[in-house]
Amino acid sequence: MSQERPLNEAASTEQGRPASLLSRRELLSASMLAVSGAAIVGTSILRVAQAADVAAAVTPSGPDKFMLASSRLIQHRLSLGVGSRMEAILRREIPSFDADLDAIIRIADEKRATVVEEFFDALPDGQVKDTAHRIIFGWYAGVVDDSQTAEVLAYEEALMYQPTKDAIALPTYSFNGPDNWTEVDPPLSAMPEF
Amino acid sequence: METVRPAISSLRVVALLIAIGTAPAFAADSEEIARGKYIATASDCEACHTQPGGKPLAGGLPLTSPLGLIYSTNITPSKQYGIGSYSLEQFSNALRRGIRRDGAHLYPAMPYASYARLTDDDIKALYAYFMQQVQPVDAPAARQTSLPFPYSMRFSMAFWNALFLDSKPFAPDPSQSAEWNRGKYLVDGAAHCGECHTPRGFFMQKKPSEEYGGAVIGSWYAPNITPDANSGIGALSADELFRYLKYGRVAGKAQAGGEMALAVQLSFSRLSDEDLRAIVSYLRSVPALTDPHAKSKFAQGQPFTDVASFRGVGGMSYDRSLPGGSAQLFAANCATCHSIAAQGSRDTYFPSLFHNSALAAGGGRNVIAAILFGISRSTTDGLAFMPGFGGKTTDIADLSDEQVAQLTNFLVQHYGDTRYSVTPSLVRQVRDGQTPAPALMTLVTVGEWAVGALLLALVIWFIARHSSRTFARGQSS
Repeated sequence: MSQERPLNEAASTEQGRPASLLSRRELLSASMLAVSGAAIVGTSILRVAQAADVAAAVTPSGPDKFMLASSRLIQHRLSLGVGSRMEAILRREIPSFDADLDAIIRIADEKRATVVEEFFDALPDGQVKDTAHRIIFGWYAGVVDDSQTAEVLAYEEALMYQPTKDAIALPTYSFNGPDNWTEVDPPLSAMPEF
Repeated sequence: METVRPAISSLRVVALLIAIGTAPAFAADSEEIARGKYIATASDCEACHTQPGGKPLAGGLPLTSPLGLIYSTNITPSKQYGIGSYSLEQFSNALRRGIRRDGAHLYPAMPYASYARLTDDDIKALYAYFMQQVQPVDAPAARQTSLPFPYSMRFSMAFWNALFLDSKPFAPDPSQSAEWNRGKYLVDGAAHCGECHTPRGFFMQKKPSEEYGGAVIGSWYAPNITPDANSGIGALSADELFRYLKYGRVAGKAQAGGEMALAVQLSFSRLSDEDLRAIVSYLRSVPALTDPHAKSKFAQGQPFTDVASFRGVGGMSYDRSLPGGSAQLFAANCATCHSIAAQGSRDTYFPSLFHNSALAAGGGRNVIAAILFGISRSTTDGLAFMPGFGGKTTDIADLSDEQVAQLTNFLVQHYGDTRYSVTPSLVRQVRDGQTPAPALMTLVTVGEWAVGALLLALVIWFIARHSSRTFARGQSS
C-alpha cells in the first residue's frame, strides 16, 4: 500500500493533494486502492495483485481502462473479475463506450478529484453521464440494467450488500455456526470498509 | 443430534463410589475400579470395541487393515463370548503380549505393542474394571475376523512379536519431570498415538526411527505430531495443543476428523486436564522429524474467490456441467458455510480453509476424506458437524470421484500446499478406506503367483510327459 494514501477525508481535502498531475497519475495507476479519501483502511492481497496488473499497463485499454474509470467513480475496492465481466457487457451495449471512459478519466483528472462528487457534475449530460451512471449502477447492483434479461455478473461482490455486511448475512451464506443466537449486533456508527 | 458426552465428572465418580461402596462382595476397591475405567478411557477401548449404537464393548466393529477386514471382539466379562473367564495373567497377556486365553495370537490391529507399556498396577485396575463394572454381553461379536491365507496363520504373529514387540512396561526416566513421564506413559502406552501416527515398515511394524512422523491409515492421513515447526506441531502453542486434544480443534488451524475425531470424543476429551497437559508436554519433547520440502502447514493459502467468472453464467440447469469448473464446485458445495473466499464463519465454527493444516499436509488425502465422509465430533465444546458429500444415504451430496478430485485440487491449489494434486483413483482409494498396499503384501501376492505358476508348470510337464509316453507306447505297439 502506498504510504501517501490519505488516512481520512479531512487529510485529503486539506493537504492530501499530490503536487503535480504526473505524480498523481503515478499514484493512481500504482494503486487503484488508494484513490479514495474516504476511510478505507485495510487491504486485500487479491486486490493488490489486481492493482499491480493495472500498473503494468502503460496506456490502459479494455478492462484496465474500465477499472481506471470505475476507480474515479467509486471509492471502494473493486474486483477485476467483476470489472472484466461488466466491461464486456457494456462495450457490447454502448457504441461510444471507449470515448465515454476516456472522457470520465480525463475530466476527473482535470478536476484533480479524489472523490466522485468533485467531478461528476462536470461530466457532459447525455452519453458520458449515462455511461457513468450505468457503471456505478452495475458495481452496486451486480447487473448493468433493471431489465428482466439482464445478466447477473456479481452477487457476493455486488457493492450494495457491503455497507451492511457486518450485520446482515448475504442469503445462502452463514455468519456463524448453527444455533448461534448469542452474537451481539454490531454498532451502527461504523460502516464496514469495503 | 448426538448428545454431548461429558468428560469423567466427579459426580460420576461419586456415584460410582456409592454404588461400589454399597455392593458387598467386590474383590477390588472402588478406587481401583475407577482408575481402571479411566485407563480404559485413555486407552480408547470403546473406539474399536463398541459398534455405533451397539452394546458397549461387545465388539464386531470392522477395522480396515491392508490385509483385509479385522473385526473387533467382545471384551465384556461374558464367560462364553467375552473375557469373563480370563485370569488376571491371561488378561495381561492379551493386552500386553497379544495372546488370547486359548493361546492364539491377536493381530496387531489390537495395539498390544503400545499397551505393553502399561504398568502392572494399571493392568490390575483395568482387569478390576472390566470384570466388575462392564456389563457382560452374552452374545458373540456380530462378525468374526477371517483374513485370507497366508495372513490367516495367526501363529506367524509369534515371529512378529519376537522381532518387534518390546514387552517391557513403562519405566519412568528419573532425569525428567513427573509431568513428562506421565505424558510419555500415556502417549506411548495407553493412548497408543504411534499406532496411527508412526509409519510402518516392511512387516507393518512401527518404524522406531520415524516415531510420530505421520502415516496413512485407512482413508485418512495421521499427520506428523513431532515438534517440527513446519511439518509437525511445533508452530502450535502448548495451550493450542491442549485445546486440540480437549475439543478437537484449534480455530482456523487444525481440526480432528476421522479416527482422531473419535479419539478426541471418546478418549482425550474425557481425560483430566493434567493428563492432557502431560501429553502435550511430552509430545513437544520428542525428536522433531522434518520434511525438508515442507512449508509451514499453518500458513498456506489466502482468501481467494473466482466467483466473478461464473456468477450468472449459463443459467440454471440440472445437468452437471458447470461453467465455473472446480471454482463453481466450491461455491456450490462449500461456500455456504466456509464462505465465498474460504475465510470461514465469524465464530470460527466453520473453519477457514486457508492457513488450515488439513489442506497443507498429507497430500490432500484428508481433504478428500473430509469431503467424502464429513466430520462429526462431540465434545464439551458442542457438536462439530460437516455433512459428507460422498453419496451415502445421510450425505448432503453425491459427488463423483472426478468431482471430488477437481474440488480437492482447487482447494489445495488456492488454500493449501500448491505442491499437491490428487487423482480420481486416489479419491476411490479413500472412499474404499484403502491404505496403499504394503510391500509385504505385494511380495506375498507375487509369491502366490510364483508358487501357482510353478505348480501349473509341473502339471503341464507331467501331462506332457505322460501323454508323450502314451503316444510313444501307442506307436510301438
